[in-house]
Amino acid sequence: MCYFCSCETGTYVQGKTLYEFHCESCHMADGSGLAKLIPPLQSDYYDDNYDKLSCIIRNGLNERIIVNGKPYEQEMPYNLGLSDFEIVNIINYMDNVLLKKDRYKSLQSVRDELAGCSY
Amino acid sequence: MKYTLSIIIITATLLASCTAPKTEKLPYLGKKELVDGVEQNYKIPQFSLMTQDSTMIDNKSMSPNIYVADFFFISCPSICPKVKKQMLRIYDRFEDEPRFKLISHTLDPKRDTIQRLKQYAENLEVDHDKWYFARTDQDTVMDLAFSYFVNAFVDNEAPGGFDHSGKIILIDQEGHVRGFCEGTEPDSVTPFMDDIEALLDEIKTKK
Repeated sequence: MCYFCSCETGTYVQGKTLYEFHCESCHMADGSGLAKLIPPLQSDYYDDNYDKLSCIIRNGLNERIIVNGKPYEQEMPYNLGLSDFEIVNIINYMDNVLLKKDRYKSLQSVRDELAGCSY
Repeated sequence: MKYTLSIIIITATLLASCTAPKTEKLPYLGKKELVDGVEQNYKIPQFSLMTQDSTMIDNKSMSPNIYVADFFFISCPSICPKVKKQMLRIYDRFEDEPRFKLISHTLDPKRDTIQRLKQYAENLEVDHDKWYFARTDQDTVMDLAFSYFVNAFVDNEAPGGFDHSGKIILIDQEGHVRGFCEGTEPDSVTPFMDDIEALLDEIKTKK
């Protein structure tokens, strides 16, 4: 009788796997980014645009942005293949594991955000 | 009893210090070549490249120095930023070492113009006379990558259009290949930096 064995062995498992596959090569395993080329996750920009993260992850970003006072111009690629559910898991992984924010975004709020993406 | 114990400890210490020399000379990598009947270590072939400052570098201009090399392209969405992060780590550690340089070769000269390479270097916030971002024509850079034992192919199905490995290669002042690591794996870069240190010691004692 093993009810629990088959369950996940840690938290944010899918978010971690997806982050490693889609985000890590640029934003790095710890979210630190790369000099003035790729912005860090830990930033004013991330917090100020928290309700746009779903759109940014799915559609990418191709505009000059200011992150922690520095300009970044390199294009972020889109990820049209990610489902709403996968996007929630990525955001909650970044938030709780990498940024230690202790907050939780719901699937519904991601769906609402995605419905209202400006591009 | 005390005597015997201390003798054992002293002998053990002596033995240990004899059997494990601290600085082992780095190997010469690559196939040896016969030149005029004399066996010679593999050397990086002749190259002449333009840097982000529109100046030329070649084997001769590099030769008083040792350097590390990698191959990348600016729009690379896969492994390049990770490798650059490690190159930056190496740069930071040896920033004040006058006989150490870095060369990043672009595999995509069509899109990576000198101007874009310059912008890229500035965004990495590195010294233009320490870390060169080098450009040549497409065929030459592909051949050059192979001569550094780096696999690189034009592949329209690969992310960004090129398939290539993230190796970082260590070259000595005579153009011999003396070490390498996987730039995508920080754990492999740590001992590699000790190799760079060892090679710097080697050329300092030679002088």
